[in-house]
Formats: sequence, structure tokens, C-alpha cells
Amino acid sequence: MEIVVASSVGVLTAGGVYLVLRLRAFPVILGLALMSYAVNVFLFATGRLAINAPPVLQLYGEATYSDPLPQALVLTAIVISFGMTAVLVMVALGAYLEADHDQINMDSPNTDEDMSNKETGA
Amino acid sequence: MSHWIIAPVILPALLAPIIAFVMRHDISLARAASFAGTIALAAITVGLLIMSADGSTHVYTLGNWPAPFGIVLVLDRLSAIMLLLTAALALIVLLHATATGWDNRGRHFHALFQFQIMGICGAFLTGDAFNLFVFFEVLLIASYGLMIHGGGRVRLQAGLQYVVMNLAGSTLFLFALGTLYAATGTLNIADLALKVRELPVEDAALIRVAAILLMVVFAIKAALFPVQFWLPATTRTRRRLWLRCLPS
Repeated sequence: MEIVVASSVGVLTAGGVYLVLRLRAFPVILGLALMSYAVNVFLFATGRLAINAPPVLQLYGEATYSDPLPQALVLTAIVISFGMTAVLVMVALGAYLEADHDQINMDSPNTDEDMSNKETGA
Repeated sequence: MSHWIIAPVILPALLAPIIAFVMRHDISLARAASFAGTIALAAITVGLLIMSADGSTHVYTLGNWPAPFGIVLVLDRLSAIMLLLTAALALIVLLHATATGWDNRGRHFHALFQFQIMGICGAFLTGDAFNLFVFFEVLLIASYGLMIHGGGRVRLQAGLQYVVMNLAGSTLFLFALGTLYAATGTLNIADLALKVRELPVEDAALIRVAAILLMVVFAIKAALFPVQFWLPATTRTRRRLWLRCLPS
């Protein structure tokens, strides 16, 4: 159980980092999604792994339960990363449509010129 | 327990949707509401500073849950001063944006601005590490909107870079929080300070990893020296960045 969770976090993070380093919009979005999956699984495991244990404290009887807090944290993290990915997709689409390429790096030589034109024109 | 402690979060949180939904077609109305909100915020933070001036720490338990289990807001002298600083800077930025007509280039400047103030105030006030992450995301998502405010090729590209950088940073932030929680079993910042002291020696490495991760995250978000490479492209297109950098 531990080895499965640990290696899945590792593989997801490795894949995510590799894709982010591609520096093209689509791989970067996929990479960040993979990294957020990895962090979700990681957060889930921070409350220690327990099988078949409900996340509720039982007042009477045997007190086998899994830690409920990481599950709440994971839920919040999933919602936030989902929203952030949506924003990222929109910004990436906007940048792609404006610039006609999907590079994340900004090393085009006429950037300054372009910018000053915009400033004076507006 | 004074309810004024949560006012710096509630006020912009209520004002922003009103500006976004009711005043979106009337820029002068939005400006007036935004100014009124920010001035009220400044007044509240002055009151909070006076309240905490004697050095006492005020704790506001959200939902009245007891401290290590529920989320708390903490007001002490440091957070009160930072809140006042935020409100003062926000007023200056608002004045600048209005005077230069910057807020009229896009649609939702004032709503996003209020949301960002909400995130910054929350980040200063919170006494819970995960809640800090949530407020960070609130202020970040507002800053993404402000960053690409007005559009244009260079601004959108710099914005994309900025969003990617911060998303990667947020992932690291979550890894750090997960490690902290796994090692200490708490996310309440005051409780963390106690638990870390009593930690067995063999767990010290975990805490060290978490601390370094947190430092890297805040360095990325504040653009400290070794990891500042995203900053030049961003500041060239956005002058209000220093407001964003404050909480880090």
C-alpha cells in the first residue's frame, strides 16, 4: 500500500515536472495538472494510510478511524487547483491567440518596441 | 472576542461582487464604491491597530470552533500594522489607477482589486497554515485578472508566465503543508510553534524539508534573489506588482 502511494506520487511529480519544463502551453497545462494530482495524493497520505476506516470518530466502541482533516484539505486543494487550471487554460488560450505561438518563454527581440508602442498608443 | 477582526476580510468580499454585478457598466460608480470601501478598510485597520496597540493578541475563532481544530484569525501588533500598510498602499494604488485611467482599460478592475485586498488581508490575519494557502490563492487569482487587465500580446504572454510560475509555486506550498501536517499533526500556526519544539529528533529532518520548501515557495512568490527570473517580464507590464508581493 505504502509503496503504491509513494511511487504514484513520485511518478506523477516526475511526469509533471518533465512536462512543465517543455515550456509549451499545452504540455505545461498537463504538467501542472499532473503535479496537482500528485500533491492531492500526497496530502491524502499525510494523515497516515488506513484501509476500511471511516473518517468519523465513534463515541462508543472501537476507535478505528482515518484522519478526516487531510480529506478536507484534499477537497479544498482539488477545488482550488481545478479553478486555477481553468484560469490557466483561458490565459494560455488568450496568449496563444494573441501571439500565434504557444511558447511560455518571452525572448522575442521586439518585445520592448511592441510594449512602448502599446503604451503610447493607448 | 471582537467581531471587527474579520471585517477587513468581509468588507472587500461583500463589496467586490456588488461592484462586479451592479456597477460594471458605470465606471464612476465603481470608482466611488471602491474608494469608499478602501477608506472604510483603512479606518477599520486603524481601529484594529489601536485595539492591539497594548501588545495583546486577539484571537477570532471562526464558527466558534475551539482553537486547534477550527480555523482562527489572529490579530496582534504585527498583523495590525501590515493591515494598515495594505490599506494605505491600496488607497495610493487606487488613486494612481483612477487618475491615469488604468481602471477603464478592462472591465472588472475594481472588483478584482477588492478581491485582491480581501486575499491580502486574510493572509495577514489568518492563524492557520492551510487557510494561509487558501487566502494566497484568492489574492493570486485576483492578481492574475489584474495582471492581464487591458489585454494585449505582451501582457497576456507575461501573464501566462506569471500564472504558470505561481501554480508551480502553489504545488510546492501544498507539499510543504502536507509535510508539516504529517510531521506535527496540526496546521494551526501557534500550535505548530509548540509542537515543533516537542518534536522527536528523528522527525526533525521532515520539518527541515517543509521549512525549506516553504522558504522556496515564498521566495518564488516574492521574487527573491535566486528565483526572481519571472519578475522583469511581469513588472514591465504591471506596475502594481509590489502590492501583490507584500504578503510574501
